[in-house]
Amino acid sequence: MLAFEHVTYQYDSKDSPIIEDLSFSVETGDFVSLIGVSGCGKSTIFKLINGILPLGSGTIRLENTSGIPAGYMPQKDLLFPWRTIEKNISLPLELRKTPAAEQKEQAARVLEEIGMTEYAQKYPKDLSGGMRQRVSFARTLLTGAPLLLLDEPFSALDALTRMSMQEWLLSEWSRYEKTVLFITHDVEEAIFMSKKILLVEDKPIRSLKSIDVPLPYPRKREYMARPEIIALRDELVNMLRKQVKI
Amino acid sequence: MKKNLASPIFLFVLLILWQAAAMGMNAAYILPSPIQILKKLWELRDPLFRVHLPATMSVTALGLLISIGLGLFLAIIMDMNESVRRMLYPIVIASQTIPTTAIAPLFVLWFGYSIWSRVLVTILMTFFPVAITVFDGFQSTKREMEELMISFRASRKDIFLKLKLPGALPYFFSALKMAIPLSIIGAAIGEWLGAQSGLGYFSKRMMTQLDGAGVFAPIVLLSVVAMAIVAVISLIERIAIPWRKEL
Repeated sequence: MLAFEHVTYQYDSKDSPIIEDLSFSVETGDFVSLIGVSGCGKSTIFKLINGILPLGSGTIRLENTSGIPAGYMPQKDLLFPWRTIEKNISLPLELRKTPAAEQKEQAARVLEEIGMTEYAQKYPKDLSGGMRQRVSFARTLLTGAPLLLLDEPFSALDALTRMSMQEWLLSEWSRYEKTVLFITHDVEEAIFMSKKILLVEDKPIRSLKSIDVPLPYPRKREYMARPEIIALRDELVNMLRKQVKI
Repeated sequence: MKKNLASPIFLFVLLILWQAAAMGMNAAYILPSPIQILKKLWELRDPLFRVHLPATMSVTALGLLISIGLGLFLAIIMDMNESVRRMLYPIVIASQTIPTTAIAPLFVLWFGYSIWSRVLVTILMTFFPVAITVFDGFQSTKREMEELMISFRASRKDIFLKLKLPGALPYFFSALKMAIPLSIIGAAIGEWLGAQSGLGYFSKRMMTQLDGAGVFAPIVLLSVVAMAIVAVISLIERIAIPWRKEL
Protein backbone atom coordinates (compact mmCIF):
# COMPACT_ATOMS: atom_id res chain seq x y z
CA MET A 1 0.00 0.00 0.00
CA LEU A 2 2.70 2.46 1.07
CA ALA A 3 6.45 2.04 0.90
CA PHE A 4 9.17 4.52 1.82
CA GLU A 5 12.47 3.58 0.19
CA HIS A 6 15.65 5.38 1.32
CA VAL A 7 13.86 8.70 1.71
CA THR A 8 15.86 11.73 2.83
CA TYR A 9 14.40 15.18 3.42
CA GLN A 10 15.89 18.42 4.68
CA TYR A 11 14.09 21.74 5.22
CA ASP A 12 15.84 24.65 3.49
CA SER A 13 16.05 26.54 6.78
CA LYS A 14 17.81 23.68 8.61
CA ASP A 15 21.45 22.56 8.57
CA SER A 16 20.74 18.83 8.74
CA PRO A 17 18.03 16.53 7.34
CA ILE A 18 14.97 15.73 9.43
CA ILE A 19 14.55 12.37 7.65
CA GLU A 20 17.60 10.41 6.50
CA ASP A 21 17.58 7.26 4.41
CA LEU A 22 14.26 6.14 5.89
CA SER A 23 12.57 2.96 4.68
CA PHE A 24 9.34 1.46 5.98
CA SER A 25 6.08 0.09 4.61
CA VAL A 26 2.40 -0.15 5.49
CA GLU A 27 0.25 -3.08 4.35
CA THR A 28 -3.17 -2.66 2.72
CA GLY A 29 -6.02 -2.52 5.22
CA ASP A 30 -3.83 -1.98 8.29
CA PHE A 31 -4.38 0.60 11.01
CA VAL A 32 -0.87 1.81 11.81
CA SER A 33 0.06 4.49 14.36
CA LEU A 34 3.16 6.60 14.09
CA ILE A 35 4.36 7.83 17.47
CA GLY A 36 7.29 9.99 18.45
CA VAL A 37 8.19 13.07 20.46
CA SER A 38 7.16 16.56 19.32
CA GLY A 39 9.11 17.99 16.41
CA CYS A 40 10.71 14.67 15.44
CA GLY A 41 9.35 14.84 11.87
CA LYS A 42 6.20 12.70 11.93
CA SER A 43 4.14 15.33 10.13
CA THR A 44 6.94 15.75 7.59
CA ILE A 45 6.42 12.09 6.64
CA PHE A 46 2.74 12.87 5.95
CA LYS A 47 3.57 16.00 3.98
CA LEU A 48 5.95 14.00 1.80
CA ILE A 49 3.35 11.29 1.19
CA ASN A 50 0.60 13.70 0.11
CA GLY A 51 2.85 15.91 -2.01
CA ILE A 52 2.78 19.04 0.16
CA LEU A 53 6.59 18.84 0.40
CA PRO A 54 8.76 17.90 -2.60
CA LEU A 55 10.62 14.65 -2.17
CA GLY A 56 14.36 15.21 -1.63
CA SER A 57 15.79 11.82 -2.44
CA GLY A 58 14.49 8.26 -2.33
CA THR A 59 11.15 6.86 -3.47
CA ILE A 60 7.64 6.79 -2.01
CA ARG A 61 5.48 4.07 -3.52
CA LEU A 62 1.71 4.32 -3.19
CA GLU A 63 -1.01 1.98 -4.41
CA ASN A 64 -2.05 2.91 -7.94
CA THR A 65 -5.35 4.73 -8.10
CA SER A 66 -6.94 6.99 -10.66
CA GLY A 67 -7.61 9.68 -8.02
CA ILE A 68 -5.77 10.99 -4.97
CA PRO A 69 -3.63 8.19 -3.46
CA ALA A 70 -3.73 9.53 0.12
CA GLY A 71 -6.44 11.49 1.93
CA TYR A 72 -5.11 13.89 4.56
CA MET A 73 -6.88 14.82 7.79
CA PRO A 74 -4.98 17.52 9.69
CA GLN A 75 -4.81 18.13 13.43
CA LYS A 76 -7.19 21.11 13.21
CA ASP A 77 -10.40 20.39 11.33
CA LEU A 78 -9.68 23.24 8.86
CA LEU A 79 -13.29 23.45 7.77
CA PHE A 80 -13.92 26.51 5.59
CA PRO A 81 -16.22 28.79 7.62
CA TRP A 82 -17.91 30.19 4.51
CA ARG A 83 -19.00 26.75 3.28
CA THR A 84 -21.90 24.69 4.57
CA ILE A 85 -21.08 21.27 5.98
CA GLU A 86 -22.25 19.65 2.75
CA LYS A 87 -20.06 22.00 0.68
CA ASN A 88 -17.10 21.44 3.02
CA ILE A 89 -17.13 17.69 2.70
CA SER A 90 -17.69 17.76 -1.05
CA LEU A 91 -14.62 19.99 -1.60
CA PRO A 92 -12.38 17.11 -2.81
CA LEU A 93 -15.11 16.06 -5.27
CA GLU A 94 -15.52 19.63 -6.48
CA LEU A 95 -11.77 19.86 -7.11
CA ARG A 96 -11.95 16.66 -9.15
CA LYS A 97 -14.71 18.30 -11.26
CA THR A 98 -17.27 15.68 -10.18
CA PRO A 99 -20.75 16.64 -11.51
CA ALA A 100 -22.75 18.68 -8.97
CA ALA A 101 -25.55 16.12 -8.65
CA GLU A 102 -23.04 13.36 -7.89
CA GLN A 103 -21.26 15.57 -5.34
CA LYS A 104 -24.56 16.15 -3.55
CA GLU A 105 -25.42 12.47 -3.63
CA GLN A 106 -22.04 11.33 -2.27
CA ALA A 107 -22.02 14.04 0.42
CA ALA A 108 -25.53 13.04 1.52
CA ARG A 109 -24.50 9.37 1.69
CA VAL A 110 -21.41 10.03 3.82
CA LEU A 111 -23.29 12.47 6.07
CA GLU A 112 -25.92 9.81 6.65
CA GLU A 113 -23.23 7.24 7.44
CA ILE A 114 -21.61 9.48 10.04
CA GLY A 115 -25.04 10.39 11.46
CA MET A 116 -24.96 14.05 10.53
CA THR A 117 -27.58 14.39 7.79
CA GLU A 118 -29.44 17.16 9.60
CA TYR A 119 -26.31 19.31 9.66
CA ALA A 120 -25.82 19.37 5.86
CA GLN A 121 -26.87 22.99 5.48
CA LYS A 122 -25.32 24.22 8.75
CA TYR A 123 -22.00 26.03 8.99
CA PRO A 124 -18.91 24.87 10.93
CA LYS A 125 -19.60 27.47 13.65
CA ASP A 126 -22.80 25.57 14.52
CA LEU A 127 -20.91 22.34 15.35
CA SER A 128 -19.10 21.03 18.44
CA GLY A 129 -15.42 20.03 18.36
CA GLY A 130 -16.22 16.32 17.97
CA MET A 131 -18.74 16.96 15.21
CA ARG A 132 -16.27 19.13 13.34
CA GLN A 133 -13.71 16.31 13.45
CA ARG A 134 -16.30 13.88 12.11
CA VAL A 135 -17.02 16.29 9.25
CA SER A 136 -13.29 16.65 8.63
CA PHE A 137 -13.02 12.84 8.50
CA ALA A 138 -15.96 12.69 6.07
CA ARG A 139 -14.17 15.18 3.83
CA THR A 140 -11.05 12.97 3.94
CA LEU A 141 -13.19 9.95 3.01
CA LEU A 142 -14.58 11.78 -0.02
CA THR A 143 -11.10 12.13 -1.47
CA GLY A 144 -11.74 8.49 -2.42
CA ALA A 145 -8.17 7.67 -1.42
CA PRO A 146 -7.43 4.11 -0.25
CA LEU A 147 -4.87 5.43 2.29
CA LEU A 148 -5.94 7.88 5.01
CA LEU A 149 -3.29 10.00 6.75
CA LEU A 150 -4.69 11.20 10.07
CA ASP A 151 -2.46 13.73 11.81
CA GLU A 152 -3.36 13.86 15.54
CA PRO A 153 -7.02 14.35 14.67
CA PHE A 154 -8.29 14.13 18.25
CA SER A 155 -5.57 16.04 20.09
CA ALA A 156 -7.70 19.14 20.60
CA LEU A 157 -10.68 17.26 22.04
CA ASP A 158 -11.53 16.69 25.69
CA ALA A 159 -10.81 13.23 27.14
CA LEU A 160 -14.36 11.84 26.97
CA THR A 161 -15.08 13.11 23.45
CA ARG A 162 -11.71 11.74 22.43
CA MET A 163 -12.56 8.25 23.67
CA SER A 164 -15.87 8.30 21.79
CA MET A 165 -14.12 9.53 18.67
CA GLN A 166 -11.51 6.76 18.88
CA GLU A 167 -14.24 4.12 19.01
CA TRP A 168 -16.15 5.87 16.23
CA LEU A 169 -13.03 6.01 14.02
CA LEU A 170 -12.37 2.30 14.51
CA SER A 171 -15.92 1.48 13.43
CA GLU A 172 -15.56 3.73 10.36
CA TRP A 173 -12.23 2.08 9.53
CA SER A 174 -13.77 -1.37 9.56
CA ARG A 175 -16.78 -0.15 7.55
CA TYR A 176 -14.76 1.53 4.79
CA GLU A 177 -11.86 -0.94 4.76
CA LYS A 178 -9.28 1.79 4.28
CA THR A 179 -5.63 1.73 5.23
CA VAL A 180 -4.95 4.22 8.02
CA LEU A 181 -1.68 5.84 9.05
CA PHE A 182 -2.38 7.70 12.27
CA ILE A 183 -0.06 10.17 14.04
CA THR A 184 -0.49 10.55 17.77
CA HIS A 185 1.45 11.59 20.87
CA ASP A 186 -0.77 9.46 23.04
CA VAL A 187 0.64 5.97 23.61
CA GLU A 188 -2.63 4.65 24.99
CA GLU A 189 -4.52 5.93 21.94
CA ALA A 190 -1.96 4.28 19.65
CA ILE A 191 -2.31 0.92 21.43
CA PHE A 192 -6.11 1.05 21.56
CA MET A 193 -6.51 1.80 17.88
CA SER A 194 -3.64 0.23 16.00
CA LYS A 195 -2.74 -3.12 14.60
CA LYS A 196 0.85 -1.97 14.43
CA ILE A 197 2.80 0.91 15.99
CA LEU A 198 5.76 2.58 14.30
CA LEU A 199 7.93 4.33 16.84
CA VAL A 200 10.31 7.14 15.89
CA GLU A 201 13.51 6.26 17.72
CA ASP A 202 15.93 8.94 16.67
CA LYS A 203 16.31 12.36 15.10
CA PRO A 204 16.84 12.63 12.17
CA ILE A 205 14.46 9.77 11.51
CA ARG A 206 16.52 6.91 10.09
CA SER A 207 14.33 4.01 11.11
CA LEU A 208 10.99 3.24 12.74
CA LYS A 209 10.68 0.53 15.36
CA SER A 210 7.74 -1.66 14.42
CA ILE A 211 5.62 -3.10 17.25
CA ASP A 212 2.60 -5.35 16.72
CA VAL A 213 -0.28 -4.72 19.12
CA PRO A 214 -1.38 -8.10 20.54
CA LEU A 215 -5.11 -7.32 20.57
CA PRO A 216 -7.99 -8.52 18.38
CA TYR A 217 -10.58 -6.31 16.65
CA PRO A 218 -13.16 -5.06 17.50
CA ARG A 219 -11.33 -3.34 20.32
CA LYS A 220 -12.79 -3.01 23.80
CA ARG A 221 -11.73 -0.61 26.54
CA GLU A 222 -11.21 -3.43 29.02
CA TYR A 223 -8.41 -4.79 26.83
CA MET A 224 -6.31 -1.86 28.00
CA ALA A 225 -6.19 -3.36 31.52
CA ARG A 226 -4.49 -6.57 30.37
CA PRO A 227 -1.02 -7.06 31.91
CA GLU A 228 0.72 -7.43 28.53
CA ILE A 229 -0.88 -4.20 27.30
CA ILE A 230 0.10 -2.30 30.44
CA ALA A 231 3.65 -3.62 29.99
CA LEU A 232 3.65 -2.54 26.33
CA ARG A 233 2.37 0.91 27.27
CA ASP A 234 5.09 1.34 29.93
CA GLU A 235 7.75 0.16 27.50
CA LEU A 236 6.65 2.65 24.83
CA VAL A 237 6.38 5.51 27.33
CA ASN A 238 9.89 4.77 28.59
CA MET A 239 11.29 4.71 25.07
CA LEU A 240 9.66 8.05 24.28
CA ARG A 241 10.68 9.66 27.57
CA LYS A 242 14.34 8.93 26.82
CA GLN A 243 14.03 11.16 23.76
CA VAL A 244 12.31 14.09 25.49
CA LYS A 245 14.56 17.08 26.03
CA ILE A 246 13.15 19.80 28.30
CA MET B 1 -28.02 49.16 25.61
CA LYS B 2 -25.40 51.21 27.51
CA LYS B 3 -22.83 50.51 24.77
CA ASN B 4 -25.27 51.67 22.08
CA LEU B 5 -26.00 54.90 23.91
CA ALA B 6 -22.39 55.84 24.70
CA SER B 7 -21.65 57.26 21.25
CA PRO B 8 -24.80 59.43 20.83
CA ILE B 9 -24.43 60.75 24.40
CA PHE B 10 -20.79 61.67 23.79
CA LEU B 11 -21.71 63.35 20.48
CA PHE B 12 -24.50 65.27 22.18
CA VAL B 13 -22.11 66.52 24.91
CA LEU B 14 -19.61 67.63 22.26
CA LEU B 15 -22.32 69.52 20.38
CA ILE B 16 -23.44 71.25 23.59
CA LEU B 17 -19.83 72.30 24.30
CA TRP B 18 -19.43 73.48 20.72
CA GLN B 19 -22.68 75.47 20.90
CA ALA B 20 -21.59 77.07 24.19
CA ALA B 21 -18.12 77.95 22.83
CA ALA B 22 -19.58 79.44 19.63
CA MET B 23 -22.13 81.49 21.60
CA GLY B 24 -19.36 82.69 23.93
CA MET B 25 -17.10 83.66 21.03
CA ASN B 26 -19.94 85.24 19.08
CA ALA B 27 -18.01 85.30 15.78
CA ALA B 28 -19.87 83.06 13.31
CA TYR B 29 -17.34 83.68 10.52
CA ILE B 30 -14.69 81.96 12.70
CA LEU B 31 -16.71 79.41 14.68
CA PRO B 32 -20.36 78.99 13.74
CA SER B 33 -22.56 77.13 16.21
CA PRO B 34 -24.16 73.76 15.34
CA ILE B 35 -27.58 75.43 15.27
CA GLN B 36 -26.34 78.08 12.81
CA ILE B 37 -24.89 75.33 10.61
CA LEU B 38 -28.18 73.41 10.62
CA LYS B 39 -30.08 76.59 9.77
CA LYS B 40 -27.66 77.26 6.90
CA LEU B 41 -28.05 73.67 5.71
CA TRP B 42 -31.81 74.17 5.58
CA GLU B 43 -31.53 77.58 3.85
CA LEU B 44 -29.18 76.21 1.21
CA ARG B 45 -30.94 72.86 0.81
CA ASP B 46 -31.84 73.43 -2.80
CA PRO B 47 -28.37 74.09 -4.30
CA LEU B 48 -26.68 71.71 -1.84
CA PHE B 49 -28.92 68.71 -2.46
CA ARG B 50 -29.84 69.31 -6.10
CA VAL B 51 -26.57 70.54 -7.56
CA HIS B 52 -23.52 70.11 -5.37
CA LEU B 53 -24.20 66.82 -3.58
CA PRO B 54 -24.88 64.92 -6.85
CA ALA B 55 -21.72 66.47 -8.36
CA THR B 56 -19.57 65.31 -5.43
CA MET B 57 -21.21 61.90 -5.35
CA SER B 58 -20.51 61.41 -9.07
CA VAL B 59 -16.80 62.07 -8.49
CA THR B 60 -16.82 59.88 -5.38
CA ALA B 61 -18.59 56.97 -7.09
CA LEU B 62 -16.40 57.06 -10.17
CA GLY B 63 -13.21 57.43 -8.12
CA LEU B 64 -14.24 54.70 -5.72
CA LEU B 65 -15.15 52.23 -8.46
CA ILE B 66 -11.88 52.78 -10.32
CA SER B 67 -9.94 52.57 -7.02
CA ILE B 68 -11.60 49.28 -6.09
CA GLY B 69 -10.83 47.87 -9.54
CA LEU B 70 -7.24 49.10 -9.49
CA GLY B 71 -6.71 48.10 -5.84
CA LEU B 72 -8.05 44.57 -6.42
CA PHE B 73 -5.99 44.18 -9.57
CA LEU B 74 -2.80 45.23 -7.76
CA ALA B 75 -3.58 43.00 -4.76
CA ILE B 76 -4.18 39.98 -7.01
CA ILE B 77 -1.06 40.36 -9.15
CA MET B 78 1.11 41.08 -6.08
CA ASP B 79 -0.23 37.93 -4.44
CA MET B 80 0.23 35.79 -7.53
CA ASN B 81 3.79 36.74 -8.29
CA GLU B 82 6.58 37.45 -5.81
CA SER B 83 8.65 39.44 -8.36
CA VAL B 84 5.67 41.64 -9.21
CA ARG B 85 5.09 42.20 -5.48
CA ARG B 86 8.70 43.25 -4.98
CA MET B 87 8.45 45.59 -7.95
CA LEU B 88 5.08 47.19 -7.14
CA TYR B 89 4.86 47.27 -3.35
CA PRO B 90 7.37 50.12 -2.82
CA ILE B 91 5.72 52.16 -5.59
CA VAL B 92 2.28 51.67 -4.04
CA ILE B 93 3.67 52.80 -0.65
CA ALA B 94 5.50 55.74 -2.26
CA SER B 95 2.27 56.89 -3.90
CA GLN B 96 0.94 57.68 -0.43
CA THR B 97 3.81 60.02 0.37
CA ILE B 98 2.69 62.38 -2.43
CA PRO B 99 1.02 65.43 -0.84
CA THR B 100 -2.32 65.32 -2.64
CA THR B 101 -3.18 68.98 -2.11
CA ALA B 102 0.15 69.99 -3.65
CA ILE B 103 -0.17 67.81 -6.73
CA ALA B 104 -3.91 68.25 -7.36
CA PRO B 105 -3.52 71.64 -9.15
CA LEU B 106 -1.36 69.79 -11.68
CA PHE B 107 -4.29 67.49 -12.41
CA VAL B 108 -6.39 70.57 -13.20
CA LEU B 109 -3.68 71.61 -15.67
CA TRP B 110 -3.73 68.15 -17.25
CA PHE B 111 -7.48 67.58 -17.36
CA GLY B 112 -8.90 71.11 -17.02
CA TYR B 113 -12.09 71.55 -14.99
CA SER B 114 -13.44 68.21 -16.19
CA ILE B 115 -14.54 65.55 -13.70
CA TRP B 116 -11.31 63.58 -14.31
CA SER B 117 -9.00 65.93 -12.39
CA ARG B 118 -11.13 65.36 -9.26
CA VAL B 119 -11.53 61.66 -9.95
CA LEU B 120 -7.75 61.36 -10.15
CA VAL B 121 -7.32 62.99 -6.71
CA THR B 122 -9.91 60.54 -5.35
CA ILE B 123 -8.15 57.55 -6.90
CA LEU B 124 -4.77 58.67 -5.56
CA MET B 125 -6.19 58.71 -2.04
CA THR B 126 -8.38 55.63 -2.26
CA PHE B 127 -6.71 52.84 -4.21
CA PHE B 128 -4.01 52.38 -1.57
CA PRO B 129 -6.11 51.03 1.33
CA VAL B 130 -7.92 48.71 -1.07
CA ALA B 131 -4.71 47.33 -2.61
CA ILE B 132 -2.79 46.90 0.65
CA THR B 133 -5.66 45.61 2.80
CA VAL B 134 -6.88 43.07 0.24
CA PHE B 135 -3.29 41.98 -0.44
CA ASP B 136 -2.85 41.43 3.32
CA GLY B 137 -6.07 39.40 3.20
CA PHE B 138 -4.67 37.11 0.52
CA GLN B 139 -1.39 36.78 2.40
CA SER B 140 -3.12 35.93 5.67
CA THR B 141 -4.54 32.70 4.24
CA LYS B 142 -3.75 29.94 6.70
CA ARG B 143 -0.82 27.87 5.47
CA GLU B 144 -2.49 24.68 6.77
CA MET B 145 -5.60 25.37 4.69
CA GLU B 146 -3.45 25.87 1.61
CA GLU B 147 -1.63 22.60 2.38
CA LEU B 148 -4.95 20.82 2.71
CA MET B 149 -5.96 22.11 -0.72
CA ILE B 150 -2.61 20.95 -2.15
CA SER B 151 -3.20 17.50 -0.64
CA PHE B 152 -6.52 17.44 -2.54
CA ARG B 153 -4.53 18.20 -5.71
CA ALA B 154 -6.03 21.68 -6.06
CA SER B 155 -4.57 23.90 -8.78
CA ARG B 156 -3.30 27.44 -8.04
CA LYS B 157 -6.51 28.77 -9.58
CA ASP B 158 -8.60 26.54 -7.29
CA ILE B 159 -6.62 27.68 -4.25
CA PHE B 160 -7.18 31.30 -5.21
CA LEU B 161 -10.87 31.03 -6.07
CA LYS B 162 -11.99 28.61 -3.37
CA LEU B 163 -9.72 29.61 -0.49
CA LYS B 164 -7.93 32.94 -0.84
CA LEU B 165 -10.75 34.94 -2.38
CA PRO B 166 -13.48 34.05 0.14
CA GLY B 167 -10.92 34.24 2.97
CA ALA B 168 -10.02 37.81 1.96
CA LEU B 169 -13.65 39.02 1.94
CA PRO B 170 -13.51 40.41 5.52
CA TYR B 171 -10.41 42.38 4.48
CA PHE B 172 -12.21 43.65 1.38
CA PHE B 173 -15.06 45.00 3.51
CA SER B 174 -12.58 46.67 5.89
CA ALA B 175 -10.87 48.24 2.88
CA LEU B 176 -14.22 49.44 1.57
CA LYS B 177 -15.09 51.05 4.90
CA MET B 178 -11.75 52.89 4.84
CA ALA B 179 -12.00 53.78 1.16
CA ILE B 180 -15.49 55.35 1.27
CA PRO B 181 -14.65 58.29 3.60
CA LEU B 182 -11.31 58.71 1.82
CA SER B 183 -12.97 58.87 -1.60
CA ILE B 184 -15.37 61.54 -0.31
CA ILE B 185 -12.46 63.52 1.14
CA GLY B 186 -10.57 63.07 -2.15
CA ALA B 187 -13.51 64.35 -4.16
CA ALA B 188 -13.94 67.36 -1.84
CA ILE B 189 -10.22 68.21 -2.00
CA GLY B 190 -10.33 67.95 -5.80
CA GLU B 191 -13.29 70.34 -5.82
CA TRP B 192 -11.56 72.76 -3.45
CA LEU B 193 -8.60 72.93 -5.80
CA GLY B 194 -10.41 73.23 -9.09
CA ALA B 195 -14.07 72.72 -9.93
CA GLN B 196 -17.24 74.53 -10.88
CA SER B 197 -19.60 72.47 -8.76
CA GLY B 198 -19.57 70.06 -5.81
CA LEU B 199 -19.66 70.39 -2.03
CA GLY B 200 -15.89 71.10 -1.82
CA TYR B 201 -16.26 73.88 -4.37
CA PHE B 202 -19.32 75.24 -2.51
CA SER B 203 -17.48 75.23 0.82
CA LYS B 204 -14.56 77.16 -0.74
CA ARG B 205 -16.96 79.71 -2.22
CA MET B 206 -18.53 80.27 1.20
CA MET B 207 -15.03 80.74 2.62
CA THR B 208 -14.40 83.66 0.26
CA GLN B 209 -17.62 85.20 1.58
CA LEU B 210 -16.48 84.68 5.22
CA ASP B 211 -19.64 82.64 5.78
CA GLY B 212 -18.54 80.23 8.53
CA ALA B 213 -21.82 78.33 8.66
CA GLY B 214 -21.80 78.11 4.86
CA VAL B 215 -18.32 76.53 4.98
CA PHE B 216 -19.41 73.97 7.56
CA ALA B 217 -22.82 73.09 6.05
CA PRO B 218 -21.45 71.08 3.06
CA ILE B 219 -18.82 69.47 5.31
CA VAL B 220 -21.52 68.27 7.71
CA LEU B 221 -23.49 66.97 4.75
CA LEU B 222 -20.43 65.06 3.49
CA SER B 223 -19.84 63.51 6.93
CA VAL B 224 -23.44 62.39 7.24
CA VAL B 225 -23.39 60.85 3.75
CA ALA B 226 -20.07 59.06 4.50
CA MET B 227 -21.45 57.66 7.77
CA ALA B 228 -24.64 56.52 6.06
CA ILE B 229 -22.77 54.71 3.27
CA VAL B 230 -20.36 53.06 5.74
CA ALA B 231 -23.38 51.95 7.83
CA VAL B 232 -24.98 50.36 4.74
CA ILE B 233 -21.69 48.59 3.88
CA SER B 234 -21.41 47.31 7.48
CA LEU B 235 -24.94 45.94 7.22
CA ILE B 236 -24.14 44.20 3.92
CA GLU B 237 -20.95 42.82 5.52
CA ARG B 238 -22.87 41.35 8.47
CA ILE B 239 -25.29 39.64 6.08
CA ALA B 240 -22.69 38.52 3.51
CA ILE B 241 -20.00 37.18 5.86
CA PRO B 242 -21.55 36.08 9.16
CA TRP B 243 -18.53 33.77 9.57
CA ARG B 244 -16.06 36.69 9.83
CA LYS B 245 -15.06 35.92 13.43
CA GLU B 246 -14.39 32.28 12.57
CA LEU B 247 -11.22 33.03 10.63
